[in-house]
Amino acid sequence: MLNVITLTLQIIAKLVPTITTSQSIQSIIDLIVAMIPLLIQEYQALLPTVQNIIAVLSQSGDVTDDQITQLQAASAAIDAHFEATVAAARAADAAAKLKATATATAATT
Amino acid sequence: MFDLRRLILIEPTVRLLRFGLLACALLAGGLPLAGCADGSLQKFKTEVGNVASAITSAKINRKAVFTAASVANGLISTADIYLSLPICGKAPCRNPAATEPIANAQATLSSARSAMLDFMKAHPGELGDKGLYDAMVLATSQIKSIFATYGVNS
Repeated sequence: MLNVITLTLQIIAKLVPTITTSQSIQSIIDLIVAMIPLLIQEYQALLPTVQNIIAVLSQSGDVTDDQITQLQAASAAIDAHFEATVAAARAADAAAKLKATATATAATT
Repeated sequence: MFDLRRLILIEPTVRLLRFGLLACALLAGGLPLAGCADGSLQKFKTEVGNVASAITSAKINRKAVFTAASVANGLISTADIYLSLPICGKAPCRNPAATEPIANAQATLSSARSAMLDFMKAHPGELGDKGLYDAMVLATSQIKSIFATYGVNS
């Protein structure tokens, strides 16, 4: 499954600079938007490829305002995932520290 | 690829530097420099200053910007994957001491990348801003350095 998704994204990334019709751009946006939840859930290592595709599409002279909004939303979803990861890591660190302190306190009493 | 804007920017710099080297060599050698009284020396200094300012606001080609943004995306994702790991105790794991440095560097890099890409979006067909590009490159090297410190493979 990972190989199929990786290959698909690599092909899209190669084709994106050559795409000039807004219908084709929309097809790619639809595919990316559909893939992002799965990538966030299972294949985070592929998110940079999606971000690169979003960056290139955003610079296209053929992209419509509505499509720009969709791309920004897709990019924001990825950024939100990164922020959630940082928040979860901080929470886990705080919990571990608390547990260590409680264990140390119990050992001394 | 031939870049006219770069040529326009760089060529006067090269000429001025050549002139500057010649002037300095003559001054250092104690040779009499006809007409190089305080006025012309001051003019030379001003011109050097102007060129330095022009270099600071120089532009970066779009390909370099997108290559750097792509590297940034990869590093931001590496930070994300590392921070998703459980705290050390069982492998693979992450060092909790690395959380804040990596999270902060990731946020800085993400902001720098977004600022650069927003600029490119707002200026279609133009070259990239060197200041924003340099900020992104600096943030990239900082997160790489933090990855090296904590043994994160990027």
